[in-house]
Amino acid sequence: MNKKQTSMFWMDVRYALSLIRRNKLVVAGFVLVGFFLFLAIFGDFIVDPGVAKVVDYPNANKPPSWQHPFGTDDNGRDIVTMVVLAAKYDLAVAFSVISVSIVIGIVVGSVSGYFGGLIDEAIMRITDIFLAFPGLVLAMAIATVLGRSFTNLMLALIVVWWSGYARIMRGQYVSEREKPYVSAAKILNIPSWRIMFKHILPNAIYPMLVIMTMDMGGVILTAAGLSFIGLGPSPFEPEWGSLASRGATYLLQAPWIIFFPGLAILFASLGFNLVGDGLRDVLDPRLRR
Amino acid sequence: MNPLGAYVTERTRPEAIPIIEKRLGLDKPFFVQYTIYLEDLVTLNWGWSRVAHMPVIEALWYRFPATAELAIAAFLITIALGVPLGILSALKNNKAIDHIIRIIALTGISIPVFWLALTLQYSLSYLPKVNGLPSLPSSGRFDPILAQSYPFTRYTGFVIFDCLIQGNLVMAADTFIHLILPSITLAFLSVGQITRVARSSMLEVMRQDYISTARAYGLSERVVIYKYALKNALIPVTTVSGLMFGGLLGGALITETIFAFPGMGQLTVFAISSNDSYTILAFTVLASFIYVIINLVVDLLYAKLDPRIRY
Repeated sequence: MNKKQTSMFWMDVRYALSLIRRNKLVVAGFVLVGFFLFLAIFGDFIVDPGVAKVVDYPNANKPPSWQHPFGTDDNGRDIVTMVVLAAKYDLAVAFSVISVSIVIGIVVGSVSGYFGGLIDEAIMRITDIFLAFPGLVLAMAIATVLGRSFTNLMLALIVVWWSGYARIMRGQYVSEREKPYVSAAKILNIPSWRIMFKHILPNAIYPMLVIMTMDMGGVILTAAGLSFIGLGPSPFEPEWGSLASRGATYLLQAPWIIFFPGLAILFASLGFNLVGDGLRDVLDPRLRR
Repeated sequence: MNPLGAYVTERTRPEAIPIIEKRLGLDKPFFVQYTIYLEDLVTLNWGWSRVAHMPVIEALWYRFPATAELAIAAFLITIALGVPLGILSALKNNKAIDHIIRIIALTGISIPVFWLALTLQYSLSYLPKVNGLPSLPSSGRFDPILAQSYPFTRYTGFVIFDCLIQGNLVMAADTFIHLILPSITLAFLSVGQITRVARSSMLEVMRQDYISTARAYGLSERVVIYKYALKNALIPVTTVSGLMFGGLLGGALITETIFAFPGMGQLTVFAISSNDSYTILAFTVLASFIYVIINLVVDLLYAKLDPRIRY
């Protein structure tokens, strides 16, 4: 980038920031996401990570008190601590599922959309097979077959998630590939992979940003749902969904066990959705006034 | 993965394995197996459901009306709330009411289903019951004990409809009350989606030139909104709500399981946990089929709504 382009870029960034700041909902979203990111990164230093392994039955199912503001679960573990510790795992699942899915989506979608023809047909029919299943059923089936663990939960979600991204990326590449700048690049004899990833990708990726941000919330929800049905990690690895699922058993005696982890899922997912919603307003040029 | 796995345990005698293999057709070549599968698929010979102890097709047929009743109830709530909220939000763009509606809608798509379902069960069913207040039922499709005093015959399987044509108002009311909590749970999630679509499409339409023209002619704001803007704004809403209804008809796995609602979703969750591949497969095929049919209906509706579209 030369000097003029750089200053233009910073003007764009500053303009986007001003749009974001004007929208209170997006600011709220950023605050929520920032809060959970903070918990995910520094959680182990704020609270004692050893609590996850504690089994202390005399203290089990204690209602919220000053000592345990959210109460204790059926193993006698402090729920505040567990919810804080779980942030790391849940955000890790969301980040890795989305980033792996988008990489697969970009590679598959770009090849399919850029080259077209028979390659396109073949790749898209395979993608259709994955899209044809109801997402939750497919994820449940895969997670059941692989057995319960964090890695398998992620794998199941990636298998469900990548096909949607591949579809959208293909659509982007199909609409971009006929544009003059691509023809110009072809005439200059620039190799295909360079056109695909250096020239088209920056233009094609914009709509994905909003979808990816909102999908972060979606992955957190789906992962929590799966581990709620019992397909998540073991009880000694803190995860919001599995914490809540233990709470479901004790719903009538100890409703706080399910209440607080569920609230954490709600706010984390809400944060990403608010940011995504605001990003769309910022990226949509028709809304700029 | 060997499909025999679901039929063989450590207690199966070794000499029985080839017999099971032969009965399931697993001894034949792969392509022959596939043609047999396709033939069975179109002749509705979908195998035996081990969790329901009956042929899969009968099990699904028996449970579909329950799922459909729930889907219709949730869908009606969604449309009745989502569309007006979305339109209102768009018309009051960036005012306080818009922000409130947007937060409600985003909460709807961010809320964990199981958490909402259990919280509703606890606060509207268990707590009032313990405190001696009138409470909503938290599980099942109707009260089986009440059904013994007011018996009814299943004609269609849609219990409310069956009871009404037999004049059994007690059971109709009881079934209706049992629908309230699960349908609120389902509707809360879809209201979020519909509100967002209605809002953005209404905003889009209100920016169009013909709206400015109508205003320039001096038409009152009410006429502009209800006569010109609304009809066009509802086209994308129709698509999304159609697809949503298709999704709802496919069965709500988690909601049905938590409310012990005897629909297809609950059967599928049982089937997945006991590795009943026939039932899982049949459910997947049926849910996809329903989705495709609803999609087609929506596409045809399009042409009715928008005269520019011709097939």
